[in-house]
Amino acid sequence: MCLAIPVKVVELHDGDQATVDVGGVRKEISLALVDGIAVGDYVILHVGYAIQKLDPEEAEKTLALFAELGENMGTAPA
Amino acid sequence: MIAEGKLELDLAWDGQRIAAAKVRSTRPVFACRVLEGRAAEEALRLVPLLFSVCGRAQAVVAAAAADAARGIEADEQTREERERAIAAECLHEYVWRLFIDLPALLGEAARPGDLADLRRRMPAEAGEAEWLDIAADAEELLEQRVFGMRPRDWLALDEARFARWLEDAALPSARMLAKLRAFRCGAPRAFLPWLDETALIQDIAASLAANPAFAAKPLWRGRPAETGALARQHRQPRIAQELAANALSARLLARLTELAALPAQLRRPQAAGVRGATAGEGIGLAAVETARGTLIHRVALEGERVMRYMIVAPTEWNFHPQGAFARGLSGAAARDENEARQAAALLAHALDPCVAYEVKVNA
Repeated sequence: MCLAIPVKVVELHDGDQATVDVGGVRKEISLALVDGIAVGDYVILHVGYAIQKLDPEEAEKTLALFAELGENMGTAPA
Repeated sequence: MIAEGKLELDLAWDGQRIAAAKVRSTRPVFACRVLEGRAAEEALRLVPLLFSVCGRAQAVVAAAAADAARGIEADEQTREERERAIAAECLHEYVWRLFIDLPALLGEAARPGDLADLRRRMPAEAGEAEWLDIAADAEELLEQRVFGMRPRDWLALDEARFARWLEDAALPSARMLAKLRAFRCGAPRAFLPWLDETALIQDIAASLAANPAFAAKPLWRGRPAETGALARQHRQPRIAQELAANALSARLLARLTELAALPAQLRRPQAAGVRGATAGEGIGLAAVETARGTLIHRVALEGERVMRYMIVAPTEWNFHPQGAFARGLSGAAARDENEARQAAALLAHALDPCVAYEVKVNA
């Protein structure tokens, strides 16, 4: 049950590397497992690798869901 | 904004051995509660978006739990599609471990290109004919890059031929298996058994009803239990024999054994992995076997609305504070901090958490 949060690609580098924005924090990741990623695309990140490209609508829906999750939804039911 | 969390693995090292291993998880195991209050159909669409690391298995187990809650049974075609989706994802995960994660831990070259190649051949949607092609492609990849022979021939090797295969230094999988035999840690204590309908109702549903926090630290009849390929395969003679000698290599061998059987499962799925159970009016449970182990969903529906959603994931069994990771490292010999760190990383890899982990050694 692994939450997978969409991140935005902000820079492409040589050797299948890229910089993404994870909630305001920039992070280096690998694009070796997915094809055709451009700056501005949303990808799902898993342990340092982009594993899936999301279409913008899907990414927005997912991000809205995570925003809604907030903090209190992460707690056990009473 | 919520994060996917991680596992903090703290080792107490006394100069000779790992005296104790502590596991702290910041995984948001109750995040699935965001599904509560929504229409069942919408919840089913959201599940693979939320949990896209193993999105196919999550989507399948959610659908099977909803079927059980509604008291309906999926038709044969749907059941086949579900089994194939699970097998395809399992193949992907095993190949990732084998081509990327394990090489990094054993000083071998990672092969992300080979995994990318497999991914290109596995579309998200496939009809009957495409599945046959995917199965053939997977078989070819495994033959060339993993087993050095057809997977089904590898499964049929007798003891002497298997011993010779292990000595084939040109094959990374054989070489890594041989390397793992040098590490001594991770002896398993108890395995999670196959959860059938009765177990899902009498044990899992009852535990979740008595204590919703069960999902964060699940126990099998009061004790921590290991889930995953070894838990499923430990009775197989070749694996039992390996396990008697070494627990880390036995876990890899169990994985390889399941991997070798996956092309056949893609071609002609045996209805075996997905099972559901109705635990009361509108309450459905389902369990599926994923690469990491048994994944369980429980949904409570009122009409077509989700009232309560719970997920018990493999990571929570294996990384329970007294589970296979913590107990398996306790007492393991380590001459220095690096050895302690490597033992922890290899056992964590063998138990395959679905989030990143951080190892700290406290001398």
